[in-house]
Amino acid sequence: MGQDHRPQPPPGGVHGHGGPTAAGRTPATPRHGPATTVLRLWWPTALALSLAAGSLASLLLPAAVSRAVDRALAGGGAAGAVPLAAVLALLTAAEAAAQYTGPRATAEKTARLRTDLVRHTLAAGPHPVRRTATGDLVARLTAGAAEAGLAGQAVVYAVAQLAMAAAAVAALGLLAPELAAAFLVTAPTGWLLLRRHVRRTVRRGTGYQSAQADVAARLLDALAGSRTVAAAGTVEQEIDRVLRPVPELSLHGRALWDSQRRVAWSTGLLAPATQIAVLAVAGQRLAAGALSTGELVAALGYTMLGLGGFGAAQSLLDLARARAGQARVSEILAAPLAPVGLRELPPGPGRVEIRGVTVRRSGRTVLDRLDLVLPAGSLTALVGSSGSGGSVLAAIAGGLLLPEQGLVLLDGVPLDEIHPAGLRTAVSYAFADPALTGATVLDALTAAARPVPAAAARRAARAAQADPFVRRLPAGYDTPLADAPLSGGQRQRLGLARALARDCRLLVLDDATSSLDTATEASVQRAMDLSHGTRTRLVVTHRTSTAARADAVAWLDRGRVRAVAPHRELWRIPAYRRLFTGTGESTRTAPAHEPVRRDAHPG
Amino acid sequence: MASSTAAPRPEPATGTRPHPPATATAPLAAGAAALRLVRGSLSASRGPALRLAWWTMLSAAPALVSGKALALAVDDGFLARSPRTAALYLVLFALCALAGAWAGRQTYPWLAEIVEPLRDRLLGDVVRGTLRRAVAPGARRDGVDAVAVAQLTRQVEVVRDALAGQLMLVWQFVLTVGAVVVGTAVIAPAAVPLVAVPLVLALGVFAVLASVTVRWQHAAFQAEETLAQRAVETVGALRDIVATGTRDHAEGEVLQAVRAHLLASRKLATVAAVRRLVVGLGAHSPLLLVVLTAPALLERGMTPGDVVGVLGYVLTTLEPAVRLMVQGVGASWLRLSVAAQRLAGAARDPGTPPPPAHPLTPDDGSVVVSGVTFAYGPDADPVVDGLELSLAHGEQLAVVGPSGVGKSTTADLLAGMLVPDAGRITLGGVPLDRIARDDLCRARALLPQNPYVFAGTLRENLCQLAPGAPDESVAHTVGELGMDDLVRRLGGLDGRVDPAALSSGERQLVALARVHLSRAALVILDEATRHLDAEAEERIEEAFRRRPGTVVALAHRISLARRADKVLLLDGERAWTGTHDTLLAQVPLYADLVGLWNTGTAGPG
Repeated sequence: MGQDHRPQPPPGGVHGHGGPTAAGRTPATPRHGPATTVLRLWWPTALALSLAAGSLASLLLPAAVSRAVDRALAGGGAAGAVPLAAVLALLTAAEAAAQYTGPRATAEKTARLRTDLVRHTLAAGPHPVRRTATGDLVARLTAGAAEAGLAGQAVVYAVAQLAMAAAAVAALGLLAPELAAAFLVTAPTGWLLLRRHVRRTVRRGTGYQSAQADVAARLLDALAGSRTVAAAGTVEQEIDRVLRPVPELSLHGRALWDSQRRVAWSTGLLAPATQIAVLAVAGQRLAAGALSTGELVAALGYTMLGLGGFGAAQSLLDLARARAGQARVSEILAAPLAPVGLRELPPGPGRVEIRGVTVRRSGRTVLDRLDLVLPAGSLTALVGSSGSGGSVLAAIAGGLLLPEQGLVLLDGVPLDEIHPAGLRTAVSYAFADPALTGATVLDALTAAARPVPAAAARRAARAAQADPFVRRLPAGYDTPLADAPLSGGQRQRLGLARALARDCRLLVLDDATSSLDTATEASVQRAMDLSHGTRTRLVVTHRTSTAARADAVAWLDRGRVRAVAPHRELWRIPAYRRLFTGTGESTRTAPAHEPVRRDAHPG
Repeated sequence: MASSTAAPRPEPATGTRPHPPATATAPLAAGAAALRLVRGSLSASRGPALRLAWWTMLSAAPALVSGKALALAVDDGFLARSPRTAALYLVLFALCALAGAWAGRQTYPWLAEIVEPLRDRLLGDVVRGTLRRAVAPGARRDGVDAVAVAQLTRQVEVVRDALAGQLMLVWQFVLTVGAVVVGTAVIAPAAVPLVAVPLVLALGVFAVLASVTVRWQHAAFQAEETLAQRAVETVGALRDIVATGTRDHAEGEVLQAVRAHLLASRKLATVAAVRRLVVGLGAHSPLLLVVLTAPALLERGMTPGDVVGVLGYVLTTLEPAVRLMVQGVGASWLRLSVAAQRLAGAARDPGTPPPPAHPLTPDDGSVVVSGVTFAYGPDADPVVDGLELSLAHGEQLAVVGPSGVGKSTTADLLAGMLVPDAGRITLGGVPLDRIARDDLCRARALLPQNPYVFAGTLRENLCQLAPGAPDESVAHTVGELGMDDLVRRLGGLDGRVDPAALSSGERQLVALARVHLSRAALVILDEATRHLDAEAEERIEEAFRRRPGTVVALAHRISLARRADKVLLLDGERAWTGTHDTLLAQVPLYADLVGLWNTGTAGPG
């Protein structure tokens, strides 16, 4: 159970830091013990029992009615009603229990699957091996899990309904074999007719859906162009344009009702036709004296029960849906999870060692046995052409992503052995496109494993040049994020402020100032030097000014570090210069002061 | 059965809306919205509603006849050893069933006549409300929520299906139950209370339970929506959640929503179990009562066939009807309520601002801005503060500044889309608030960064602002903007345009041509050439220079600012006006921006 199948890191990093690697971690996926298995099966079992009791009562009911009627007609008084009352009481109790246990079983299973999905998704982290689009994932969490939850209920119901129908037909056969024969001839014929119409209805639905999708697509287009429409004052024309497919939709809609009409016609015939066929046969037997009046009523009751067997088709459909949902949920849960670290991080200066790290994504090697050391308290710039893996390396350095091979050490401790809360306090991140969380702007700035005081957040906002525009928001720092009209650059500055609001051992800036103009960026950097100047910093950048300020530049090329050296030394290499200018011709280190050339914009 | 889609299955919400109504919508209000909707649709289609009622009534006829036919078949036929008579009654019953099924069949066209126009009307209301609100002053510029739009169309479908289900189910139930009671009265008047009294009691219990059910269904519905919303937020921000060390907190929040849904589902299961008692009370207790009193009824002259007939009514007609009512109506009504309320919100019309009392028409494209101040909220710092600017007709102005400094806000103010908190803007000598809405739309054109191209012909797209423009003018514009290749590729002016098949640059070209073709004296381009290459951009810039009228361009490339007559530089604190050269010499921020542009690392957003 506690076996760790991941490739073992090279031994060097682990010795002298307390015990074997596996000792510092626990498996992240909990296995379910016997107790949880009982819990899982409890509600489906309860449902099965109540359905069995209900079926028994349903089967006994026609017989009980028959006996009671015969006794009553024979002048036997009300004594025959006692078994009938007992059967009815059992039926009501059993069905009420089924009404409770069925949804309960579904609800419990759904909630369990959802909990597993949520835990798994969050534990897999921001860079899972198998990436699922957010919308898809949420659909699996809501619709997928709910459908999968139906599984237990659907199986139990399908079995119960089929068994019940078989028993009802058998009961007819016991009354008189001819009755069962009459049922078996009429009912399936009607059923086949019905199926054909249902299929046609489903086919016709597609035309309707495409007309519907057309309206939605036009509405989306118009909404995306709402500023143009607003300025041009053409909203009424747009409304007409969006609604143009509506007549066609109406046409398809009416065709759909027409199909449903045929379905209803077949359904309307199925039950009476079967009833009449059985009644005719039963009447014959009654006239012949082979059947009592009560038995004729019983035959009618069993016929209704037998027709109920077709309900199993719906249950089987539900079961198919449940299986599809289960498959969609399992697909996510099947992805392996890394174990969780348990060690406390001992105090240290913030030295980061990256050793032989390899990362593969969708068949491509992003980082290839990469080595890099970030000396304690240094500022390292990470530079490379776009797609060279800078952001991935930034994620590796702070433990947001665990490499398939290799090891990352912070002050000598492998990152994956450190307790998450400790690691997240030691490492602070800012991104080019930060996602802000929480209710208000202040919440977004103070999000952390250990509480960050509001004063620190405001100080950091000033350092990140975010304070002026935050104060211009409708309610300043208390503005709900949903009501704050933030541009990309403003978002970026808030992300920076969030990172700067806490003290840390390692600060990783993943292109986090890309939307700031150079003047703003320079003031942010001055503030950062004051507050975090003694911390280890790793900065992914595309700007020469940032690279020039760093103690060393790590030049990333095709998944490996091509060189680590100060910017001015690397600048002599044409290939390095090309990273910044796109041409490699310029020899100036500070492009901000270059003479203005026309159309120098390479993007 | 009504429609297969009206089946009362709780449907999980698959999508989310990022900004749902803040407070929980009360089930009562939702019920009221649904009632309004039902009343409205029935009164709008009175004729079809009456016909629907008529055919549904006929479709209940077999239910009425079945018991009596059974009673006669037993008494006069089988028990009287007269198979012929029995056969006759059975054939009569069969014919009734056939007629009933046929009548049921006739209900569908009339159901369609009620439901289809309602759907069309709802769709129209939703589209009108959504679009009018999207273009109302102060609407958010960013974020089109595809999921919300998809949900709206789904809600319209829910209303269509659920309303049809309600119309069929409730009406059928009423008629079936009526048929059973009347049929029993015909066979055995003495047995009527045995059937009717428990039934009325059961319906009372059902009504009480229904409100409880609706409340918990509502809670479950909302819990699921909250879950989806939190999941979207959490998964979307997962990298940042992990990086900030707030994973446990985020996980707790999502799991709390999972738990809330579980609790609501458990309550619902309890209610469902209690509701099952209604079937026992309404359909099974009459059965017991009839059997118990059968000897007494027989003594009062009822025949064995009569007893069988009454039991037939109860077992084969009443019981299924009560079950359907109990299990189907509640859930379908809830779906209808919730959807009706959502749609009522989406169809809300923002209303139009009143037109100016004494409207004036602008003379030309000259612009004067004096002391204009604008903030997004009463407590917010102003985005534009005391802006002064003056442009002669025909001048070209480039607006530059760092990202997020308020360039687009300035463009909206100049276009009259936002109203300044203080100060005044005139166009052609007339204050913007004195120009009638239609005149303003003709006098100036605003072209945002995300061009709007709609599905239709190229001509429709190009002539949107100049309806009926002659072919020569269109050809002139096409030539001026250098989009002949694009026109040819689309199959000429009457070729169909599929917006999704065009590149961003091509969409911008179409939108630019639309504005070029218009008569607007003031053209405001909000980074409208962002997706075009430098050569195309210069060509377009020159085309607009030759076109009569003033041009305000929010610049994302330095070339634009270099060639403009005037440059307006915003830095968030104050604004500078000048030419490229004077600003370069005098304002360090401008030099800095120019430097940034040249490195090509980022364009100011």
